Amino acid sequence: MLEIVGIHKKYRKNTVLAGVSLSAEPGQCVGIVGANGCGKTTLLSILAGARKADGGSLKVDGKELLGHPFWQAEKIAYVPQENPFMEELSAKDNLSLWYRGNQRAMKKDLESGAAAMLGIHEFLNTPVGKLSGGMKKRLSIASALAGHESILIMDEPGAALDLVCKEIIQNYIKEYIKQGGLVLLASHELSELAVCTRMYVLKDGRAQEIPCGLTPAQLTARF
Amino acid sequence: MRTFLVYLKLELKRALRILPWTAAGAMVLAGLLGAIALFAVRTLEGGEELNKLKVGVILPEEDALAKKAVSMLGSLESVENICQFVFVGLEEGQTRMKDGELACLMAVPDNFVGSIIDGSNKPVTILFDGPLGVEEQIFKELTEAGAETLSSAQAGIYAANRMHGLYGIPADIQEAENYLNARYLGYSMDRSIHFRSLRVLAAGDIPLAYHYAAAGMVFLLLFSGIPASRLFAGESQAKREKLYLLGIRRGGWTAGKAAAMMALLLAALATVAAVIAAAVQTGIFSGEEIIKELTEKSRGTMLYRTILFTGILFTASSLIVLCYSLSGTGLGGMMLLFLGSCIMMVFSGGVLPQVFLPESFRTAAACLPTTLLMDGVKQFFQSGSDWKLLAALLGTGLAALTAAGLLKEGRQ
Repeated sequence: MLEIVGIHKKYRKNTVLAGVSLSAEPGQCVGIVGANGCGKTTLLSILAGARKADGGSLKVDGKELLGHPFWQAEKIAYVPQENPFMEELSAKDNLSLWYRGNQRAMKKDLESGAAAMLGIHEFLNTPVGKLSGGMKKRLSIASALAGHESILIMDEPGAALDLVCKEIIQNYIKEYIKQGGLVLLASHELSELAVCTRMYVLKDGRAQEIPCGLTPAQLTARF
Repeated sequence: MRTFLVYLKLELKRALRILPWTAAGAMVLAGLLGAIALFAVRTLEGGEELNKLKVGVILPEEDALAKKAVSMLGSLESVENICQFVFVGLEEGQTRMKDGELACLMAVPDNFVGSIIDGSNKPVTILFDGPLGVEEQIFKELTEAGAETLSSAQAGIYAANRMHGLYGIPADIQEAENYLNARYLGYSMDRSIHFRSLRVLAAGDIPLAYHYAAAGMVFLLLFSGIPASRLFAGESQAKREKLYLLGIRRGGWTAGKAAAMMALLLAALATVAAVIAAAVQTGIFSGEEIIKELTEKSRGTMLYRTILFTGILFTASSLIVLCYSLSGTGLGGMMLLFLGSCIMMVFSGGVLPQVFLPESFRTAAACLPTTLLMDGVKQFFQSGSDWKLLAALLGTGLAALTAAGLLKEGRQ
């Protein structure tokens, strides 16, 4: 169970988040939409522990995680919009960092875990710099899930990817939810949001729940 | 800790991947710096301190004795060191003096030798053209001083000779002459001190070639950070955030980068050393003297030199990491590193030895890390152990690394 209450964030005098509250259950995929610059990335990176919140609460299964970035990292897998890799090194080398050197766990995941489902073995020994955007995104998801977290946060996972890659990622999200995982997904693309079971629109620094399956016109009318 | 070690391993692996670029860059730099250093050493050490004065000697006609006396005078060491006598006629001498070929003309009077013998001492006339330069001034002063000393000595000796004659003790004349000669020569200027061979080193207590070798090594170390910019470029916000979540914070990041840089610098130095060794082996480069000097001279303990070498690499790496941290981008870091190194090395005497620089430059240089690095490299090849220098080097490296860590963008 994920409970977010009153998350605040200011960049100098600019208030980006003015008390965002939302909740989600395991097995749900929560979509977050909003206009450019509305604070989607800021919210997701705060939830992941990568940025500090000025105030609020983030509870996972009743345990307060905000202010404890390393606990957040243990519980929440974060796939940022950009790829966080060392481009000169192979996918395997990069994965080893996110598995914190635990070769056994990495091998297991590559054989039957998230890494296997995402098809990482196809390009395991290729330098990241030579991978396509889709491959990098798949690697990014696999590396984020290296700690077997039960909550997956994804910031525009399908941006600039071809349809095949989008489908692979969507299939993986469906499988992840099916296995009881919880996904928080920020996106501008309706096809990507189709997988969501709940939707929130971020406006004026607050999150407001909206029905799933809205048309583009209905959706943008709420921005 | 385990995560940091994995991160460190990956940074070192990245360094290994960009090693060919760094090694190639190091080779090009070494060649360039070597050529510049060679040129500088030749320029600074190759010239003569003073040019010899060409003095035109005008002899009276058919006076072989005078020519013999002047030739003998010209062969004296003290004269030979600053003058070269050229026998000329008056008109030819004046023309050559006007053309700047001759510094002055010395007109020898008739019966020059005879006048010395009889004590009348006919003076030679020295003719100059225009205002006197330094060399000409020295020549004039020496000539006048010499003439006056000679006149006094002659007067004293002849007076003594006459007195011995009047008192009927001519047998004592020789003894008196010897005594007076010694006395008068004692009063005269000790010319030998002005012509003693004294080696003045522009770089202080080490030969200029070593000074430039040390400067070249510091340049090489710092400039090797330029082709290594890929280690610092492309640090996206996402990567910073993810590393933070892994526990790789500012300290871990700077330590990882410094370790990778140290490995790269070590590889760059090893490449250059291997190429120099190969060049010596094949006879392309004749470095026997330097190698003899390096291998035969007693030095500090192996432990000290190992720590000093590590300290040099550490400080250079920390400065490189600081430059990239300060700029925040790969390209900016490269420019900052290049300009910063060049400016600091000018102050530290890496381009021109400090003795040629203004006092203010020398004062400023004392606080610069490049001065410490140069001193460290020099110390590495000298005897003894300077622990103070080592501490200063390590302290500077640590300060640079701390600053780099503080400058790195933290969690927002």
